[in-house]
This record gives sequence, C-alpha cells and structure tokens, in this order.
Amino acid sequence: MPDAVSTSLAQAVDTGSRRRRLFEWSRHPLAARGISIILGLTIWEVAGSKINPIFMSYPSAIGRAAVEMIADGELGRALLLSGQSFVAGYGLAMVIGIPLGLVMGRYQPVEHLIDLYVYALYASPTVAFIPLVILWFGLGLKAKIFVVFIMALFPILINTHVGVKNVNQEWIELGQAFCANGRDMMTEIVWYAALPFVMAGLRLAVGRAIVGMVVAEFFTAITGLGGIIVTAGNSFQTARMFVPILVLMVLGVCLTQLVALAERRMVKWRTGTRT
Amino acid sequence: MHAEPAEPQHPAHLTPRQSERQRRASPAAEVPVLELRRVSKVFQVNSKTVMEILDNITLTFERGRIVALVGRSGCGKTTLLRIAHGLVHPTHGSVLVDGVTVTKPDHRRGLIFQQPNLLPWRTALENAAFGLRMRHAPRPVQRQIALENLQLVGLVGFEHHYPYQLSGGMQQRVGIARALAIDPEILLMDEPFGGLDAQTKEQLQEELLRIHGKTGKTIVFVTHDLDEAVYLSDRVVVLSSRPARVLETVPITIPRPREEPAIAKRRPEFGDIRYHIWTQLKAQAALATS
Repeated sequence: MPDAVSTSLAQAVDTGSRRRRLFEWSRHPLAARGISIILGLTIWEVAGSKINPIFMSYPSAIGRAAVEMIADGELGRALLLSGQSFVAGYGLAMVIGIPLGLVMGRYQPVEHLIDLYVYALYASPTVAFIPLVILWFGLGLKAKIFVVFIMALFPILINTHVGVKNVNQEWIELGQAFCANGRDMMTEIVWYAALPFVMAGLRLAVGRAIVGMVVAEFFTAITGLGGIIVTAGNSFQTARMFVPILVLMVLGVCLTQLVALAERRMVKWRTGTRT
Repeated sequence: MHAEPAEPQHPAHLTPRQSERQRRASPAAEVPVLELRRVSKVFQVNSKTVMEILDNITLTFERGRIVALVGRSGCGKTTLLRIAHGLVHPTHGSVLVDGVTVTKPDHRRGLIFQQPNLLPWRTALENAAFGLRMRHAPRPVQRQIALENLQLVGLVGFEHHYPYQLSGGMQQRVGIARALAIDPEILLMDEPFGGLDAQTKEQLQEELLRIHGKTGKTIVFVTHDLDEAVYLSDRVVVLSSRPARVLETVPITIPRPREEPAIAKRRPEFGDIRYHIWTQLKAQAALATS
C-alpha cells in the first residue's frame, strides 16, 4: 500500500512540476540577468540610434568610442589619474577613519569632543566646500585627494564608531575579568567585535569616494575620467562621454564586491554566530 | 540568628600586609584563601531610589574547598561573586585574598561565566589561552598550557574548532579551561551549568569534581539548583532574599570522592540536607510574598 500511495503521490508531483521544470532554468540568477541585459541593450540600441547623437548615444557607438579611446591610450591615462586620487584619498580615509572611530567609540571624552563635528560634516553637502578646498589645495592632485578623502572618511569613521559602541558588553567584561590592558582590550576584543561594522563602512565608502573623485575632477583641474566626461560633453561627443561613465559604474560595482569579499574572508567566524 | 563565620584569624592590630608576612612565617596559622568582610552593595537606580543588593556579608573560604552560594533568583548571588572577583566594587566592606585586600581582578581568581562567553573569532585553543595572552606569556607557553587544560576538561581534538562549531556543554568546558589556564587559587563559578540540559549538566558536575580532585582549587559556586549545590560542595551558604544576608552555612557531610550525581542523590543525608536548605528558601519566598 505505501508503495501505491507514494507512486501516485509522485505522479501528482510530477505532473504538477512538469510546467515548473520547463522554466527551471529561469530560476538561475544569471539567466534572468542575462535576459535583462540583452533586452536592455537591444532597446537602447534601437531607440538610441533613432535619437540625435548629440542628445543620446547607443551601445554600438559607445563601443566604437571605447575601442578608439583605449587604442590611443586616453582611457588608460584617465583611469590612472583618477585611480591615483581614489587610492590616495580612500587609503587616507581608512588610515584616519578607522583608528579615530575606534578611539571615539572607546573613550567618551574624545567622543564628546568631536562627535558633533563628525555628524554635522557628514550631513552637510561636501560639494559646497570645494571652493574652499581649491583655496587650500589648489587645482591639482592634492585637492582631488582631499575631496575623495573627505567623502570616504565619514562612512568609515561613523561605522567604526557605531561598531565599537555595539560591542557585546559580555566580551568587555571578559577582558576586564582576565586583566586585559587598554591596548589588548582594543586589539583582542573591540577590533574583532567591531570588524563587521568597519567592513560595512568601507563598502559604503567606495561609492562615496567615486562620487568625490568625479566631482573633484569636474570642479578642480579637469582631468581623469571625470575630465573626459566634461570635455566630451562640452564638445557634444556624447558617445565618448558615456565611456568613462560606464567605466565608473563597473569600477564601483567591482570595488564594492572586492570589499565584500574581503569582509567574508575576515569575518569568517560569523557563520552561524552563537555567543 | 544566622551563623556568622568566625572572625578573621589574624590579630586586628596587624595591617593586611603584616599579617601576610606573618602567615608566610608560620604556615600553621591558616589564613583563609578568600575572605569577604562585611560586604554591602547598594546600587543607585536613579537620582531618587537606591537598591540594596548585599547587606553586611562576611564569609571565609578555606583553601581547597568547594562552597556553593544559593539563594532565590535575583537575590544578589552573582553580584557577590563579582565582588569577590573584583569586577564589582563593594559599597562597604572588603575582599581579602590570602589575607590581603584586593580591589580589582587579578589572576589569583578565575571567573567562569553564566554563558560560556567565548570570543567567536578565536578557536577553542586560543580562547583557552586568553588569560595567558592577556598576561603576555610567551606563545609556546600559552599553547602548551591551553592544550593541557583543554585536555583536562576533555576537549582533545577540538582545539581548532570555533565556538559556533561546539555544543553548549563543550563551550562551557572551554570556559572552564580558560579559567584554569591562568592557574588561579580560586575558581569563581557563576551558575556555569545553568543553561545546559540535564544530562550535560550532570556530566559536567562530575567532571568538575574530578578536576577539583586533580587540581585542588578552591571553588566558589553560585547556583540556584539545590541538587547541584549539595552534590558539589563542602559547604552551602544560604542567602536571604534581597538584600542578601547570610542565613545559614550548611556543612555537607557526604564523603569524598563522591559517586555519580544520580547515586549520590539517593543517599538519605543528601535528601535531608537538600530539604533543609529548601525549607529555608521557601520561608524566604513566603516572606517576600507576604
């Protein structure tokens, strides 16, 4: 009997799932994304090529422009220049933001001294300070690095601060119970406990740093990827203008994924966290 | 009415440091390894109200003995243990280790928490070595001692597991190994088996007695489980409801080494002692509700 029951049940499941199995492949995330990309590009290509190329461009034209710009080295040079200000600014934000966030979270006087400024600056539009940045640092690389730095700093600093504030009190007590000194408490407990927050801050900072980089290239000396956007836009070379925009998109996604990967590597103990 | 333990055994005119010297000079004069003298604790709840947790508690703990502190939940047992450890400061009174007043944690007292409280980013071995790392012991020494203690608590083969890969009982074993690794004179245990299932609990109780037999540590054990208190200890200190006072100190006459928990509990004296303590706590509960 149980056999009969199970076969009929299997049949029922089978007939019910035949249609589902037909579309099984559509569940794979790559399938739907692939279709979405192909569809999007096709529509863009067809619709875009009908519009005046000054107002809009389309994939094949952008592709041609990209090949041209790669071939004559323009894109490579721009990428290198933009990369410089990005790496320096982001690195500086990391080197200053993380330690400052740790100290701010751990020592209340420091927190009360600076948290007002930190949150006020975070909330204010950084672009508004660019004229001042130019007065301080001129139009060159220094000014760009500073804008990237100031954009990336706050997500890192604030996330680290919040992470330290959220450290499980039991772990702090553990440190006290086993006579941890201030330094060991920081390096052995607070740092690891705050690490997931720090990594999230680094991830958020990637996007902001890229915005800062492009904005700086628009408003200080016109160079790099942002510079191509401005010059191409001003000379109505819309297809060329799209190339650095797409590069920036890809760059943003890849860097964010890179940080997320580092996060998974560094916070591997979190798998099924139990305390 | 409550049985106050004997007054400190060294002359009152001697400062603690002098009495410490005297103790070393004449080992016959036994100074208790841990002493709580007239300890009171008052918590400031807000600007207007204060909460009395502990009321004038004096207790002495002899070397190598296991003493259980029992009381109704919320009576202040844990606070008392933390004061003994130095994590919490008493409002009045003092804590003496080997006859010398202490005011902060040190490695002569090892604390075992209610929850295992392991660091999730560290392996069992690294967690067991935590105290040694805080003491900046050389790495090979850390490793060696942590390994020995993991062995002692029966965790061979799990050295490189992370806490999330260990069961609750195993996590607590690591917690015990961590406290033992700093080689404290006194183990302070705060309801360490409270969160475990009945079988694991009994198993760990038995193991604790085995470890005690091997290491001879003085153990102060906070629990609300009367079976556990009677089974483990040489003396059960019964605390009143908040603010906690010492109601009675009950000597446990069951000989050592003790049988497995299930067998030990069948002894008639086990039941008698347990019942005696239970009536004391029951009376406290009645007082609290009336």
